[in-house]
Amino acid sequence: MNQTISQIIQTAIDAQAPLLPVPIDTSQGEATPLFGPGSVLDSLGLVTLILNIEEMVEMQMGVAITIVSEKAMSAYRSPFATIGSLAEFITSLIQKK
Amino acid sequence: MNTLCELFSRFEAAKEKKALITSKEEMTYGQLLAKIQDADLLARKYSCVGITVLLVGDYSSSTIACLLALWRLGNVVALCCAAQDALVNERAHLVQAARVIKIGEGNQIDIFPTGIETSHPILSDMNHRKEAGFVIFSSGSTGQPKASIHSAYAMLDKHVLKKRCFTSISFLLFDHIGGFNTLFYVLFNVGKLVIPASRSPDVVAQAIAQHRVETITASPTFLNLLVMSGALMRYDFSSLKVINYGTEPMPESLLVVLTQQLPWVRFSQAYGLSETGVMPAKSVSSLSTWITFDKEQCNIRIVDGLLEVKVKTSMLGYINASSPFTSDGYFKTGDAVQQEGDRYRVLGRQSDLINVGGEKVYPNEIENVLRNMPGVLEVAVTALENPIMGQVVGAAFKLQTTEKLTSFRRRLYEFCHQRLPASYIPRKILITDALLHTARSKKLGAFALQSTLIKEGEMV
Repeated sequence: MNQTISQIIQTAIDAQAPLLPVPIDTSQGEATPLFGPGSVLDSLGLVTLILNIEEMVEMQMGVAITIVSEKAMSAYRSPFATIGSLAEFITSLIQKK
Repeated sequence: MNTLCELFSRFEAAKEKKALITSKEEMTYGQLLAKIQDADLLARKYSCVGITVLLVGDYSSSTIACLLALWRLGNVVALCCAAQDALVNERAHLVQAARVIKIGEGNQIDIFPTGIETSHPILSDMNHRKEAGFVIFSSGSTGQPKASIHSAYAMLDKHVLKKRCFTSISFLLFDHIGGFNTLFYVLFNVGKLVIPASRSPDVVAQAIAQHRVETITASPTFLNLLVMSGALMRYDFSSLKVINYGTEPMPESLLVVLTQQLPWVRFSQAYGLSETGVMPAKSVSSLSTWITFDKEQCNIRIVDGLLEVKVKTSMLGYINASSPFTSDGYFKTGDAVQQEGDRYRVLGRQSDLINVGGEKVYPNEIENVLRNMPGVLEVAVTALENPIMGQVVGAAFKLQTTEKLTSFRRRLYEFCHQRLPASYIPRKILITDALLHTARSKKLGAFALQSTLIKEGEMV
């Protein structure tokens, strides 16, 4: 499952490339910053990434998840900080289904 | 002489002229007069005098004859094109109609007493004074439509002044305020009204060519279908002189294409609502989406960016909603407008406004850009609720050829990058084969579109 989710995140990042001033450099792998210090995504970019990921998770894994919730937004460690934290958070959402 | 008598005397003077051409019948003004007389006798037989009636039927000689006879007998007539029994019953109760009159396929007239009592203060007052009136249902994107009551004479008086006599095609339906306006323009100027068998682009185009139609009033969505289907190129449109468009904002790109393909035609924007009637407005020029209002016939003002109007053809009130008029008699249209001196431009319904983190935009501003993307046949944009931004832009596309969502999304973002501000770019995208317009060739309302975008998302 982890690999599928990583691929989905990567595809969603690639899809957004035309809208970003510079593409997201994913050479750091899971440690790649997504949202927050050192990242190129603004809030609209984050929204796009999330909507795109939700759509692909549903299409490819047959599970409808809602990534943005009060819990996600108020978490001490933001699930949107890095590729790794987002993948982990999505995995936990899918497991709860 | 009252306006209705004036109208009948014009029919009398033009007895031999063709009044109506449908796929099933042709009728002269003389024959229409005879039909009005028959309808009058039948209506009297069923005591349709000074009451409220629901008239069920689309354009036909019987529907038009019934309407005019019922007005002459001082009735309020609610118009309904839908024939489904459940809907007719619901509408009859909504307007408190004492009789339902159905015009059948073969033009036969059937009158049914309903046993419903008319108690609404405006309706019962009009019935008591035998004042002719009509009720129009607004298309209401959610829930029950609003029913607006109008004085027939306020609308008829507007048409008395003689204008040019045209052969016109009625694209908008009989129960639409714009369709009603076309009908009475034609009748008062003893022109010819052509009713196409359906509202599909080819059928309408063929009727225009065959009957040498000179004017048409249609929605931009339908005009777009005419272009996209190729019907504009396949049929002879040389008889056309004027195309009036209304019911929704006109995309500038579509107006450019239309004026290029039909350079001899004058394009003019009509503006009106079920509640106000068709307003005395016209386009600044064929290529302009700006309009001017005839200030001698109406009062216009803008309050908080929204248009308010005061005009004689305004409704008397709603049957099923509270009064939308200000204390000084202006109707709040809910349409956001831009003003430059005497010119106005309608931006869209305030309720359709999309607010992306404080950046506000109307769907048609975005659609105007997206429609120019290669391969896009139709596009409809709406607001989608979003927990981070408040709202984001959602867009449904109909494409010329099959394309994977992943590659389309990339192409869309590349296209949008230099053309739209970030907040205007669709963040939720749907490719669909479903129609993005209603059966009446009007773009899907925000509510229907949001449901499609959300539902489709769940179904994938």
